[in-house]
Amino acid sequence: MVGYTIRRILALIPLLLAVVTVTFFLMHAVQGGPFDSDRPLNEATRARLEEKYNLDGTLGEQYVHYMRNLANADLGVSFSNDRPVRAIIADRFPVSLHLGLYAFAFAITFGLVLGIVAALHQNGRWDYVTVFLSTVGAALPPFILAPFLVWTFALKLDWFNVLSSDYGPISVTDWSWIWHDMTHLQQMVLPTVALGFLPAAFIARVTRASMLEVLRQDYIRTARSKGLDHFQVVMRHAIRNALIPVLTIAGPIFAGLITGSFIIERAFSIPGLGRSFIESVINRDYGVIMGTTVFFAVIISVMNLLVDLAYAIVDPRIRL
Amino acid sequence: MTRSRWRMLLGILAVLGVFSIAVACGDDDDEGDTATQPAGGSSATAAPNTGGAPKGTITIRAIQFESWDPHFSDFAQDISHFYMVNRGLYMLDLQNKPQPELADGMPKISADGKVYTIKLKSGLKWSDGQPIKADQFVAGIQRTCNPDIAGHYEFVLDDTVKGCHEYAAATKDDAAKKEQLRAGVGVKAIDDLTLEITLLEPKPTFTTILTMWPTFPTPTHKVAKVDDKWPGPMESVYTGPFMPSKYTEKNSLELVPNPNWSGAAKPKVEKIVLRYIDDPAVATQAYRAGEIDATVLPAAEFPAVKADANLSKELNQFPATRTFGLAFNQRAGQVGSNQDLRIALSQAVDRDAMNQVVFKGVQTPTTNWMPPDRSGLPLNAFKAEVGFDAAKAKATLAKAGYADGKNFPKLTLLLTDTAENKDLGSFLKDQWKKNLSIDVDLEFVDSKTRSTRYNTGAFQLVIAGWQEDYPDPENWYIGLRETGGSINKEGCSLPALDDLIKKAKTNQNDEERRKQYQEAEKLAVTNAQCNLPLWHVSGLRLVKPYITGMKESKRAGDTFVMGDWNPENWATSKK
Repeated sequence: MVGYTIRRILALIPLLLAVVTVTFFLMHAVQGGPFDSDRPLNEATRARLEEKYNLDGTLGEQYVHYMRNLANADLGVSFSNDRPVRAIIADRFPVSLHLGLYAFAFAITFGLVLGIVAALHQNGRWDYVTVFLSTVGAALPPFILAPFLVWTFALKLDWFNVLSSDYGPISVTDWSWIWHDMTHLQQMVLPTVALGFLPAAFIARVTRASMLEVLRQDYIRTARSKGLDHFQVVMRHAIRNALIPVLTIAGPIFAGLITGSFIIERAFSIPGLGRSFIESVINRDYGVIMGTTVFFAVIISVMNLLVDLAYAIVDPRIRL
Repeated sequence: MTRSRWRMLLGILAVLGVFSIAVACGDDDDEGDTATQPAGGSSATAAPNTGGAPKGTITIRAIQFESWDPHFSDFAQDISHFYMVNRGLYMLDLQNKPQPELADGMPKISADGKVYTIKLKSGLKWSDGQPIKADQFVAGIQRTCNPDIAGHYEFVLDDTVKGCHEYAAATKDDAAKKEQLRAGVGVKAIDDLTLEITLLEPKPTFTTILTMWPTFPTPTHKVAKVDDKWPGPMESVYTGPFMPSKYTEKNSLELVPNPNWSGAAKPKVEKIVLRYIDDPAVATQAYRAGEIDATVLPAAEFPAVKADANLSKELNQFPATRTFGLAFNQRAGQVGSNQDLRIALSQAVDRDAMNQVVFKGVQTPTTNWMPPDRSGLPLNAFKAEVGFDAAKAKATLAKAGYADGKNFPKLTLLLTDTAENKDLGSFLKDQWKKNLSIDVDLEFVDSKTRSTRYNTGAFQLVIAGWQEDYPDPENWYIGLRETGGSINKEGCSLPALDDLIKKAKTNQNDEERRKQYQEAEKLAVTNAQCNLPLWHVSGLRLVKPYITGMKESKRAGDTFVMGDWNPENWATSKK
């Protein structure tokens, strides 16, 4: 497994190079630059800004300059506010991570429970409820779900707030953030549900299908014939095996949730990385676009690697 | 046994669920009052605080600033922040007249109109208690002209203050040359309390320019060199009525009264919270839920708010200083170089219908370029010449060489891709089809692409407008309507208009100067120069009834709420 892990980490290098190169040239191929607005800057000001941010050379020169800086772990600066991209990511990512962890916990809990209950009661009431919820979850895009949740639970029922809480950094050494969150649930529930509902629906469907398949396997029949009760069969034999497909999708879902959602972060006014990334694209803030893309690529690659490693732990038949 | 285990499992989940909801619905000590305050919120109100110790908190919707550096930025949201915490020599009053702020009286202007001598009030202090001195205003102006700062508003000083243009243009020069040019900028401190500024030529509006952020002083004890970076909100010091006390990027900025503020009007609230909410629709929901006290209202929600018995009383609608219209590319060989064609397309647009259909009645249909408050002309002053008249439009188009729309060339209207612009584009296309029998294509692109194409002349027709920088007619003409002007993106050119602008620019007789700009307005619009106006923008703001002192002043600065350049006037009676 160690050799496999090293090979996979080494394989990240050409992958990241490809991501950076494609993003760099695509970004510059799009019309409009960071200093374009209806109020054009005078020539001297524009020239100075282009020189300051290394936009005055040819595209090839700019690319080489960017790659050289990247090799030194320098992600550049934002053209809008001159802040280092690393500092922006360091500020925003914990916010998205914080929200994403809750959304992931919600998605896994809600999705697994619904999926398992539905499979155990196939074609029963709970199964129909699960199928209905998972269909609704898959059909409702976040930009509809979020305003709907706000309208219903914040404006009409007054249970929760429209605006989110301050999602501060989380820590494994100082757990005070958990107390903060528990006392600010009114501001945290809706963003969590809005972000986690779609993956929860997906996980529920996958879990249901996987459980149904496992429950029909010979080893389940053998376990029952040995006299194990239903609870033991489900908990000890069915769920563990049914979780492998869920694990496959959990990694990318986790990566997707913690890297931020523009729609949810905008809908609840959360200062996360997703919002920052989309704004940087709109503003042609090349430094932030590139830095965030590299960061996303690393996170997603690492999550995929962890999922592959987890296979071997969950299923001994898999050899890496 | 099996059934009981399942029941236990479900029981645990149910308890967890109920616990979660109970906690979620419980009181929130920190923000419960705000969160549960009903829209209108008059139950807990008392007389507003108009004097005495500051009390209460006002939370408004704001937009995250891009730059905290007043000598660099041109973003509207940044400028609103600047005035809450910083002030310059002069400040515009509610009638948009410059009044002394940090200056001790109006400037003494030399007989030739080129040298301004300004005295500072004595005893002025930054928010950290350090004295405010004349050389810090010198450093401020030099910083705006500094090519390494690349200030976006350098243009207001560029062709005005002696030596500023040369210094700003020295992007490629070495440090010694730049230092020489910096010293050559026409601003100097005579002593700690006296400042002298030398202009290239008389500028009747220069005192108004001195109310603007590019002339704010530099705290030289924090920004020692002219190239140094401006400190962030929590590190900087301030000359205005408020100062930051807590800042979380993209989330909120909290302001408290500046203990060293020297202005006559003292802050009346303990705290102002600027809650950064990008989407105005989200802000409106937060306002309805009582989580914020004031916000911009998106035009799309105007009908619903107007129909709401409570919210309609909290709605403030006022004319903003912004105009939009049809901007043709008038360069030789372009479709828009045909003056009659431009006028025909303007005459074919029913502006009143457009306002109802596209803008839900929010905006002010017009044929004026400058808003009436700025020009002194009546609204829709040029209706007869370029306003809606279908029959006249047909005749004008025939005069342009396209009778009944025959052989009309390909013309594309370029718009930013927004929901409102989709409606606007469709409306205009229908109007031109119906009234002129011509087909105009629509092209929707993102805002940066549109700006680039507009700025580089890669367009035929765009919807474009102007938001004034400072309240004077010259700001609607200089650079915009002059032949070869730096912001004349349409390539328009009318020698008679150039002459008028040139005369008005340096005319020190204010009444005569304003009349010259009225004539310029007539010439520009009736000759369809650059832009054929369609509507003036209306400002829409929701403000809770327990807030007082938010007064609109018909100027560019009211980005977040009315009067957000004067937060020292705000008060709240909410407990």
